Order: sequence, then C-alpha cells, then structure tokens
Amino acid sequence: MLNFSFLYKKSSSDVFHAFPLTRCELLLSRLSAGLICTLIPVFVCYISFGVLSAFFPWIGSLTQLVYYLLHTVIIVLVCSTFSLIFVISAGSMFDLGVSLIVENVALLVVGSIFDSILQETLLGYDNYSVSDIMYNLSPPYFCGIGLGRADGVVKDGISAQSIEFLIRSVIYIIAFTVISILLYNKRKAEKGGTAYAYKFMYLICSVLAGICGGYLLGYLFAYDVANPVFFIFMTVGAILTSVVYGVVTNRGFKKIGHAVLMGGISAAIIISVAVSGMTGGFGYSNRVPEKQDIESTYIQAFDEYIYFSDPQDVLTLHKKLIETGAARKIDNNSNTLRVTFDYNLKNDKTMTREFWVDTSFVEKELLSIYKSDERLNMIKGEVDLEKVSQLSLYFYQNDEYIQVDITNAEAKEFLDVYWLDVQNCGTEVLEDTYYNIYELNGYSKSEDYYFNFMLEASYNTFVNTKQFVTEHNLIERAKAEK
Amino acid sequence: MIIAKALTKKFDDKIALDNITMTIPDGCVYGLVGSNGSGKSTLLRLISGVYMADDGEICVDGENCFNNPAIKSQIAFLGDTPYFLPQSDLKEMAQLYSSMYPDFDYEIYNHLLTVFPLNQKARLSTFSKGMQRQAALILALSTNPRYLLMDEAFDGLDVVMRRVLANIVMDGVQQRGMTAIIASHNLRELENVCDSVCVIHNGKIISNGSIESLRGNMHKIQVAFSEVPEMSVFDSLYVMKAERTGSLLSLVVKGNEDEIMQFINSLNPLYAECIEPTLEEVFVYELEVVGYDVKNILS
Repeated sequence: MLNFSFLYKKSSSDVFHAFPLTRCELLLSRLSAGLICTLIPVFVCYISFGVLSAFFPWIGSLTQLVYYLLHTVIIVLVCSTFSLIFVISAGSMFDLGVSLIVENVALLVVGSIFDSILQETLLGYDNYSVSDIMYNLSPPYFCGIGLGRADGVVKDGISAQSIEFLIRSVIYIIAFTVISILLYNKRKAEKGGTAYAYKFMYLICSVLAGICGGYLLGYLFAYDVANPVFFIFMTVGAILTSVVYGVVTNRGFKKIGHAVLMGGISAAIIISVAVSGMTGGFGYSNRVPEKQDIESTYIQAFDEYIYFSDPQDVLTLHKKLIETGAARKIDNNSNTLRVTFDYNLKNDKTMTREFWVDTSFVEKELLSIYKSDERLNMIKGEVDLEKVSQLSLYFYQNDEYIQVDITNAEAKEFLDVYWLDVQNCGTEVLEDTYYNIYELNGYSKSEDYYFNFMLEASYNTFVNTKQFVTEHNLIERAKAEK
Repeated sequence: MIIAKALTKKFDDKIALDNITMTIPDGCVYGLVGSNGSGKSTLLRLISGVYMADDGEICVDGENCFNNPAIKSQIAFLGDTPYFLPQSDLKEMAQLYSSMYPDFDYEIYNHLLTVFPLNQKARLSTFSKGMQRQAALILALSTNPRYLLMDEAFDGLDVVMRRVLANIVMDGVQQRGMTAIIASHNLRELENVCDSVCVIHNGKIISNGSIESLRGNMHKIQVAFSEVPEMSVFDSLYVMKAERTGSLLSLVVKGNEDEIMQFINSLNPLYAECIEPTLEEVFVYELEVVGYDVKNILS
C-alpha cells in the first residue's frame, strides 16, 4: 500500500506519472518492490528455520518448511494482488483502508447472513457454516483455508485439494493482476485525493455495509426473517448504515440522497434473498433426490439418527412432505415433529433438508419410519448389551421423572417389550409430548463413551413396556435408590 | 512540436479545458498565462502524459503522449509543488531519475549543482521551498529534455535565482533546441523570457501568438493640447482606448507608428509622445475590447 501512496497525492502523482513508463510497467514495478519487501523477511525466517531444523528436529523437516514457504508465498501473492484492486480504485489512503476493511469483513458477514437466511428458508436449518460460500467469494478466507491445509499437505502429501488450491491461487493472482492493470490504465490521475477513483468500489462497499447494518438491526428487533418487523427495521438499518458510510466517504452530507439509495439497494437485496428463500428458492427447497443417485440415507426423527440402506421409505416421506406442504402448513394447533433428511449422493455431494412437520399430513409415512427395522437395528446395534455397564432407565411417571438403574438382562428385556409395543402402536406416538419418552442410558466400555437413547413412546398405549415397569418395580426401586 | 486538437479535459462536472486547439513550435519558450483554475496546469499535465484527455488529442512529435514512454522520456515536467521520495536526498533522487530517463546527464547535473549550490547529501525534506524548487529544477534539467514543462516556475525563487533560471532555460533553447513551456499567472514574469504567449481563461484560449506579433502595432500615445479637440477628430485612427486627464489625453492606438504620430502632430499638440506598451498592457487592451474582465484573468 505504501508503494502506491503516490497515487493519492497530486505532487507525487505528477512525478510518478510523468516518468517514462507505461502504467503497466509502473504498476508491476511498484508491486514487485512491495512484494520483495514483504517476502524478504519471510525467506529469512524460513532459511533460519531450515538451518535450525538441523539442530532441532521438532521444528520440522526441510520438505515441510518448503511446503509452508510455498504456501506462504502463494498466499502473499493472492492477498497482495487482491488488495491491489482496492489500491488502484481508492483515491486516498484513508478510503483505501476503509474499503479494504469493509470489503473483507463485510464480505464474510454478508456471506454468513445470506447463508443463514437461505439455509433457514430453503433447507430448514442453519448450521452456521459459511465455509463454502466464503471459500469461493473471499480471497482472504480462501487464503486462510489454504494456509490451514498446508499442514495436511505436509503430513499426507500433495492431494487433489492442494492441487486445486494451487491452481485457483494462480488463477486468482493472474486475474487480480490483470484487473488491476486494466483499472490502472483507465484510472484518472486527478482522482488522487478524492475518496475513490472508481465509483464501483464505493457502491460495492456501501451496499455491503448496508446489508450488514440492515440485517443487524432487523435481527435485533425480530429474530425471524419471516417477520414483517424484521423487514421494517432491516430497511431502516440498511439506510442508516449506508448514510454513515456515505458521510464518511463524501466527508459530509453532500450526497445523502445517493447514500439513501444505496441503503435502499442493500435492503432490496436482503428482501429479495429472503423472499426467494421463503418462496422455495425457485424450487430448490422442494428438490428430492432420485433413488438411483443416492449412496446412503440418514433420517433424524424421534430423537434418533437412523441409517437406511434402502432409501425408499425415507424418499416416500420426503416426497409426501413436499406434495402435501406439510412442512409449510404449521400453525399453533399443529402437532409438529422435527425431521432431517440427510442424503449422501453418488457424486460425493451431500444433500440435507430439515423440516418442522405437521405430522397429520404424513402419519402413515412417519409411522413406517418409526416402526422400521432400521430404527430397531440401529438401537440394538449401537448398544451391545454384552459390553455395556452402568445402565439406567429414565422416564416420566405420575407427574415426576423416574431414574432407575437396571441390569443388562433387564435392558434387553425392556428393548424387546418396547419393540413389541412399537410394532403395535398407532399414530398416538407422533404426538409432540416431550415426556412420552424412555431414555436408556449407559456406558460403553469398548467404545469408552456414555450413551443415551431417547426412545419415543406413548405411555398409555405401550402396555407391554408399562407392564415391564410394573413387574420390575422400577418406580419403587427408583425411590429406594434416591 | 506539440499539437493539441480539440482537447477537452473535465474534472467531474467542471470543464478544465474546453475544446482547445493550439500548436507549440519547437525551440521556443512558450508562456501559458491565466488566473488560478484557468486550465494551464491541466494543459501541462496533459502534455506530460500525467492526465488522460477526455476528448480530442494532444500529440508531441506526432505521437500521443499518454502511456507513451518514448515521448515521455523527452519531457521533463516540473509541477507546482516539488515531490521527492520520503527521506531521500538529492543524490538518491538523481539516481532514481537517471534510472528512469535514458538521457539523464550527470555532466549537466554536476554543472547545475555549481549554479544552484545545494547539499547533495542533505535530506530534501529539510530544504526550504526555494531550495526544493532548485533541486527539482536540477533533476528536471539533468534529464536533458527536449521539452521542459514548468508550472509556476519562478515560485519560491529569489530575484537572482529567477534570472539564473531564465538564463538556463534560454541557453537550453538556443544551444539544444529545447522547447520550454512555462505556466504562470503572472504575465510580467514571462515577458522577458517567452517568445510566444497563450492566455487561457476558463479552459479556453483567448489569445495566442508571438510576443512581437501580439505587441505588434499597438502604441500608447500621450498627448497634451492647449484646447483638447473633440474625440471625433481621432476617428481616422484605430483608437482602442482613450483617457482624458485635464488637457492630457492618453490614447491606445493600433496602426503604423509614423502615420499615427504624423496625424497627432498635425493637430498641433503642446506635447506628444509614443510609448511602447508592456505585454500586460497589450493583453489588457486587446482583451477588454473583446469583452473580457482582464484584471481578473491576469491578476
């Protein structure tokens, strides 16, 4: 940045631009000078490490250091050339700093915001993971990930991921440099001292800042994007933020109308993203994978994460959910259940959808999952009663929670009778009563972990389970244990 | 030769140069005159390739100078505010210039150091304004330029140094065929140096030509009568301006000096004298005739 500070002052701009160099030569010579200054200390450090590693092997092998050095150089090049676009587009050091901070921070935040809105509205859940979006949108984030992966390259050798990182880095470096040269060739020298040499930089930063400010204020007043209150305060926040940014950039209220317009654009972007998400993202949220494309299927329902080798029942439920709109017709009287579909596809991608489901629309399909062999086998497979200890049963009875220790034999018997009731039960088990549950807890010696299974039931109709509780005096034993 | 064709330069909404067409011949000292913000510095920056023209073109030796290192290497541009690399001294700046300009001549540099006695190893930031301008001049002239562009060249220089600078510039023009273009808001400064002068106002050229041709056949006559005749008596002369103070009449007249004086003497004045007007007066009279508020332009 210091190497290009001549751009921002008339006297220095006159001298440098009067030199007998093309703009391209001037840019590349200043960039090279900056890179040399940046990389010399890096090389000195790595050479020192290389020498020291001969005496202190814990520093790392020579190969490791070369890998790390290569990554560092690539990352410096990507970040430098990316920053160069801002350097050329800015009109003063102050605005360069502001735009770099706004762009890099706001890009992460905006990515996170849109990721959150779209996941919430399209996929039904927010896993707060923005890594994919950021990896593709933010060069600094991309570099951070690349640096993190350097360790993997050192340990496991060159992988497809590391080659992809290298290729993308080279593409980025070339693209950013070419963009910078093109911008510099058209840059007006007289723009030094103004806020921005190119208006688009102000527009981008203003809109990004507006989106961040708008979402923050909307979120403060309404947690849910589907709430009209969110949109009102989001719009106010976006306009206020853009106005503040405009005031900073224009050093006053000179172009306040323009700043308000930028805020409006920010708000419109959030609204369009939210609305497109809420209306199904042009069919994206209604997508159900084809059976032949699926490698494996998991469904999370009834507090269990169940694997299905044959995805047919899961697909039937998923399709029925979409067809009936069961996931979108929830009201205060609905009996709801949270269902997550997790597909691993044959093309190495995953597809996850999460819904709050009105069970009345899909009772038959849900019961089919509930009674499936996969669910029973999953429970039995997870708990090898020969290798577990410290077993206990936890349930709700007579307005109080009961916890009682049971033996392995009792646990086996409990699971048998529970499963008998499962086979005979009706849709009453789908009722959303959190206390209609038997929780089997224990410690797996072989796996060295404590497990607990939430076995959804219906206390009234699970007669065999109820009888097991009575026959084994579990309530009395629990009281005695207390 | 520098040729500008329909040259236009805008700064946002403000038109700094408006459709200017002009020719600056080789081997002369050319003055650009105008008030602050008239567009003369902008014109220099366009010639030196610092600015891009918005419309029209400016060619040096037939080639557009923007982004043209071959042409730019022949041009030395001295802006109104000298700039040096931070913490640098004159010697380091000379090294930078010598690496940039293929014709940088250390002989000229060393010679100029004797003319402008500056400490080569002192930080330039510690120099006074005048010394910084001298340093910038040394560097610019050492590039052995074919075109020397100077913005407010005499600013910050004392009277002696102004004369030295004028001599150096004129030597360069005479001995090496250099073309010097000097922008100033002060016409009096340029009068004794320039061969040609161009007056710019609000981005437009309002007068342009050699000093001789501009001064040309304009005469300032002071004449006293025992009884001042009616002004209609002078109708046969091209009187540009007439002022009467008592019996003394001051006339600015265009035409042949002998013919004018012959006519004046035929009116039997008590006293009559023809005075050569200064360049500034020439401009004032010329431009007032065409309706410009010249005092504002040349102030």
